[in-house]
Amino acid sequence: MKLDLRTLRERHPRLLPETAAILAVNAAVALERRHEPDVEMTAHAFGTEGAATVSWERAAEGAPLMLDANVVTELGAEALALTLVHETRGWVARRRLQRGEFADWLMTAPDGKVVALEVSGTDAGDHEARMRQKLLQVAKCVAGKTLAACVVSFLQPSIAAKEVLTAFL
Amino acid sequence: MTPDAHTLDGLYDLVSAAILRAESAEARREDSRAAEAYFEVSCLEEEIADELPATNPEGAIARRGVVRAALSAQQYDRAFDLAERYLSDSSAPEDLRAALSGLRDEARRAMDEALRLVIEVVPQATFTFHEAA
Repeated sequence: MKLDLRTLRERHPRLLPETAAILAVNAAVALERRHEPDVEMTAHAFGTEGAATVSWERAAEGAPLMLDANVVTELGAEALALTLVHETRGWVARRRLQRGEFADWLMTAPDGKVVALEVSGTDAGDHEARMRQKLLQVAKCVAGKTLAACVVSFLQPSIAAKEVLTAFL
Repeated sequence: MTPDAHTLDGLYDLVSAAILRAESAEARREDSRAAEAYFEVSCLEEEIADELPATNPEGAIARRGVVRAALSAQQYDRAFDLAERYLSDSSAPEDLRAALSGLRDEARRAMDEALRLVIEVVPQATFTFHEAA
């Protein structure tokens, strides 16, 4: 699977150029802390295990100094998550949510249903525990027919996405 | 593509961009820029709320968003007034009412705190009058 962050706007036509640019530059800075373009990430997307080759446009020199480290990790993760869920499920970004809404994005599935997606970025840490925590969080969001979480790790590059099963609720 | 601010999709495009701008400025501790962006978020959420009923989950998100963003912009009067307005809608579901009540109370506390911090200026005479002998 190829996740090219330069395709963010093609995949999500409703993202304004400004929004796509903010997401892409944060992802580039987060990835370039330790990796080069075309890095291979472990990918666990909705029950399928595999690898993803991630490519991006390099961040401008000095960009890391202009950005907050935590925001870089969070928004970088969002850029990767939006690319992954489009690649694997065809979900398209509808709107960003504010903090406190139990999800980061409302998306539209190919069948028109609304999906709530919670994204978490981490440099390191317990991937599985974070996924459980994020699934519990997004389960509280009533706006989506489908509820999903995506966790991105930048240290040992990996990306995982899972849906909240209704039986889980 | 220039988003059409008269459509729900256009408003969603604009609010997404404004939220990312606000959160990024807040993280960089650029307080005035963050407040400005949150005010824009609040105004856009208000327009979205006008488009969608309180019973629609996305309408509920917008109503909470109006008030939450106004609080982040330190527009406490606006947060309080709009929370009251949305609470007066009898069709608002219980979970939305609970969230709005909490946000309204937060706005009230912030307004009280702002009043407490107003410096009270007490006029003081620099000379004294003496009663006539």
